[in-house]
Amino acid sequence: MKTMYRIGALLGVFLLLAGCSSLLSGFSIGNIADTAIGAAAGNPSDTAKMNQLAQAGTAVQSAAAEITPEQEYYIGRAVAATVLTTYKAWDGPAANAYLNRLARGLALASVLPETYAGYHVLIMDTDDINAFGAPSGFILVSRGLLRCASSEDEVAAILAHEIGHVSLKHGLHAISTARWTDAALQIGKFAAQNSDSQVLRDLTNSFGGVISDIVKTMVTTGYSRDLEKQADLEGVRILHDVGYDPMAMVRMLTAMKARLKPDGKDFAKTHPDPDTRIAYVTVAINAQTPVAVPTAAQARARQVRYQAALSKI
Amino acid sequence: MTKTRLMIVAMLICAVGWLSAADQKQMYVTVKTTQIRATPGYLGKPLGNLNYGDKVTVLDQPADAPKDWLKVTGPDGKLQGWINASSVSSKQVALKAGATASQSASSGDVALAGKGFNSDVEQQYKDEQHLDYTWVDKMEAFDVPPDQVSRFLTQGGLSEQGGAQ
Repeated sequence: MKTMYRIGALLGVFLLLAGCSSLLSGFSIGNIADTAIGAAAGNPSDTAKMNQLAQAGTAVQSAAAEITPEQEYYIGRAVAATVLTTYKAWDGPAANAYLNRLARGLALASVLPETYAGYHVLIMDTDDINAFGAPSGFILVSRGLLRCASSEDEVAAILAHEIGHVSLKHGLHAISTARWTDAALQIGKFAAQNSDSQVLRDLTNSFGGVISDIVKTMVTTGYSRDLEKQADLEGVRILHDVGYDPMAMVRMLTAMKARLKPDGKDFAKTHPDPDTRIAYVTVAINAQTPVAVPTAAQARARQVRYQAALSKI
Repeated sequence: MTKTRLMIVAMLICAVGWLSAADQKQMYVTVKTTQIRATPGYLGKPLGNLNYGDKVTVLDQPADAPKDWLKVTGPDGKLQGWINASSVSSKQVALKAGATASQSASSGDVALAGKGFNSDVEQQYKDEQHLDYTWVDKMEAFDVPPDQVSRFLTQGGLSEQGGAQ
């Protein structure tokens, strides 16, 4: 009996020292896959556990922590395709090419320089002032928002904010716990028996739910103030580290404020008040080391290519 | 006294676990394709391609290595160079040819590799929702080769390390 206590105590101390965070942070999608595979193989205890999981809506570790880059990529593609049912694409080859070069340069200074298939930018043909950073780097920017900018540094500020959302995986944070629990169950089942067409349909339904959560947040309700602040601050950090003037973010927010329609369906509805954003962005910029001033030739190069690409936006 | 002994045994078990984990140093590529480079930094000369799921072995890092870059050897063990730390994960993310989910059912991470939301799900979703992916495919085809990025940054007095170079 004494030995049993010792083993128990030893195990307890070991777990404590090992700091088994996975035991504390909810069921992981990997655990669920094992359970689903066991259930598919006819293991009664796994079948019972799957049913319990389904009924209880067990909290699974967050999608942002669990989802693979490849799955994030398919989510990003579907989110972009869905947004493009509301806003049409603007077919301006030179402007789109310019924004893609700019975004790739900025992304190098982000916490996620490469996504599964890279960062890509597309202009939306609307006067609305709006932009979306869909998962995995599918960035959509409206003509209305681009018209608020008057320099490359200011366009860089728009893209740096969106790269902030992408690299910090804010889209995945929009997936509700219940939705992700369901998706994790379906993914687990799919891993066990992917030839089953009903399982594929169930998984596709879960996928649809995930897309719906993200699109609703991005387009209708907006991210939380905290996530918007994170994207703003990451944006000014990226601007600074690449060498753009971080104050361009303040100039952009000021220009957007001047065009703000209080009852508008665009950023006015989904983003915090510009004055609040300007205040915390200014504090962050004041704490940065000064960015070296470009030479006259470098400043001219920026302005010339900006004008060439976006003067007719 | 007994407690002290238990504590020592537990710490030894942990140490063994940590040491064996440190020995492995295997990581997996998390982007569709990337390059192993001669020097740390995206503008370093590409030595060869790495694809999603490729296994790399992390080498001892030189003292002056930038924090975001890892010195690795590629899957064949020959190619040696640098890769950005954000483009690899210690979790296996994809099954390589010949492996099946059932062969690796002992690990949920591996069993899930390559499963879940994939091209089959996308196709089914696209059909059900009558979604048009034309512009998504077009935007994904906007390609910016690294030398273009480099030129773009240099001309504007910018760089991945800081501006007005």
